Amino acid sequence: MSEPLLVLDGVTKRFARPLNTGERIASWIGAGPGPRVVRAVEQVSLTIAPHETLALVGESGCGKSTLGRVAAGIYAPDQGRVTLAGAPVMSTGRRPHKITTRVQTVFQDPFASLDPRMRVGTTIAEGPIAHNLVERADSTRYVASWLERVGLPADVATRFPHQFSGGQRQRIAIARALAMQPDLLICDEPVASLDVSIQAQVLNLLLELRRDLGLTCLFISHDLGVVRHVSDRVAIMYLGRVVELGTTAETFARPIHPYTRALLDSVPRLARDGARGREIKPIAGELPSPLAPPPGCHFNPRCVHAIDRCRSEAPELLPVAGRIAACHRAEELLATV
Amino acid sequence: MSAPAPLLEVADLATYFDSKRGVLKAVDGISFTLKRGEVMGLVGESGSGKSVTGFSVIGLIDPPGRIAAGSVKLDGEELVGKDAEALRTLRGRRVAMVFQDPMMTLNPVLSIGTQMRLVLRAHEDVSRADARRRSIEALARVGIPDAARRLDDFPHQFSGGMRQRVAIAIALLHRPALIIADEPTTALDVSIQAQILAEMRNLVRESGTAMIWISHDLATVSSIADSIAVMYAGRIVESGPAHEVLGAPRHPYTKGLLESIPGEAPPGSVLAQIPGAMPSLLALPAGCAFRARCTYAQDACAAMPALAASPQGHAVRCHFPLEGMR
Repeated sequence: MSEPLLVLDGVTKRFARPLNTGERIASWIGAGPGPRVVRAVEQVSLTIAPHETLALVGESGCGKSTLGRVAAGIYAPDQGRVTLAGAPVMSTGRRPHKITTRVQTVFQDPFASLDPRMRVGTTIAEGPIAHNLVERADSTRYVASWLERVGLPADVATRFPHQFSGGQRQRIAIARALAMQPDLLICDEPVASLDVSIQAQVLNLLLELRRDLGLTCLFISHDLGVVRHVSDRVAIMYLGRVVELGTTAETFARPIHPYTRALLDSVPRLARDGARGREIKPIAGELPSPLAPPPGCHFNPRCVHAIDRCRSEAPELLPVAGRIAACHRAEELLATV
Repeated sequence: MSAPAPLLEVADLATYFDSKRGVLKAVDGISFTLKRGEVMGLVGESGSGKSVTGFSVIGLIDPPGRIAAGSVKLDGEELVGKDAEALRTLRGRRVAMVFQDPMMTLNPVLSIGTQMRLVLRAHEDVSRADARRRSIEALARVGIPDAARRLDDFPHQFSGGMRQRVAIAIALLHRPALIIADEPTTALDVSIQAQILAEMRNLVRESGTAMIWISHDLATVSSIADSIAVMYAGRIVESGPAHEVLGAPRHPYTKGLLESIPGEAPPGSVLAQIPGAMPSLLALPAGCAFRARCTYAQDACAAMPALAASPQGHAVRCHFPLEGMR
């Protein structure tokens, strides 16, 4: 095994909900409950090898986007370290900031992620010029070459984002990220807001660029079909914790954690033979509030296999059959696949 | 086999929007029928006209939109041209709608119980106690735990999935003959989507309610629909029994949509993609609207193909329909 490119080591990220006026007064006089804290990401350790694509999967509120932003150097972790090729992604100190240009992100919504008042060419050239990746005099040609790479004509550079469709905007966002010549590309739901036929175009483009440029990817998605298609390994998250980690093929074929299994069973599959009523097996219950996650294994209230131990003791991520899973009953359950 | 009279008959329906840049033909001459208890999946990408079709059926088209032509018959009764008052007595009682975003349809300043009582009293003379009892029943039916207590809660106190359940419970209050569900699970997480899909399927089966399930997601549609109609640029390009349309698609667009879904293809392989994007509804090409993106297009496609149906009811609007692509 080569050295991993990205290392997330024991990363924790909390968000405090600001107190309202009543609560503030209460806490001044010492009667209040104090700030309410969401542990968006709790003690997550992951590595990504060079040229590998790791997918982060989970439902809304599981912390996948927060973890992506920690990896991207957008959020500073409260605990833990993030390094890229051995060097820290963020500075330390009172106001940590990103100190590498080697990680870039493509966000979900290309309507929100592109500055509407900036011409496409300026948007793409801004970062590379600021970081001396290209001379200003040379930037037009540089922008044109990246536009071409993402399948857009060079004259796109002189136009504004509103003149483009969702799929084209996402191509522009990809060009902007790649123009920074990153080693690691973080894709946060890059195709979730696109129509099916456009989704395939953008996925094909990402696969092609990844191969041609030798990119390493952290791919965040709730769409298990997309994840199965693009990733080498997959990490399943539930309420801030990774509950299972393994190769994509194995995890989809033989999921270990009850949550992974339930999630896979929930996905409606295309029944082309009209076998309607093919069982969708919904998971009972809802995601608990991340402000007050259940004690023990966070999944225990919804888990059909839960035992007393699951309600009191949080399971650690441990190796099970070449993968790792955080479940007290992993060994038993594996035998029942 | 004598066919019973259909519940809903839509014929040559055209809904146009007048804009400064011209007439936008959002729905341009579509026809379909729906039997009692049947679930039809209306599939298409954004801008295909699937939502406007739903709004047209339930009479929710306001200026600058207008129903330019065609007919919508519910139980043989013509709905197009009815005045607002007549439509109001019908909406909510015989036809109900469930929208994508329940936060937009529920009133944020009224408790769920009040909203449900208002809906009941809009069409029936019910006492407060009766309204309460029926509301609790309806909430329990859609799987809301502790329904009696939750009746006094406000929409913001419910999670997204629970809110959508409330919207569905409200739609079911008057036991409508037809429910139009416009992307009802799109905004929800996979696990909640699965719950709602399973519950909706059981609810319509038990109550014999017919449903139009509008969605861009073929996988979801395939798990609930008896029949499927695929829309492209305001027209139905293919329709028929679900297993026929999904199993043996005959229109190149349907085939392209099915093949572009990741999860069907081997991991990492190049996905079959439909080139280009849907044309602007203001600048539709003459003839088949899909021809610029179609790999099978020939000169003949410059003339509009007719919608031709097989004896099994599998209809396709294409000069060169595909043969049994199983």
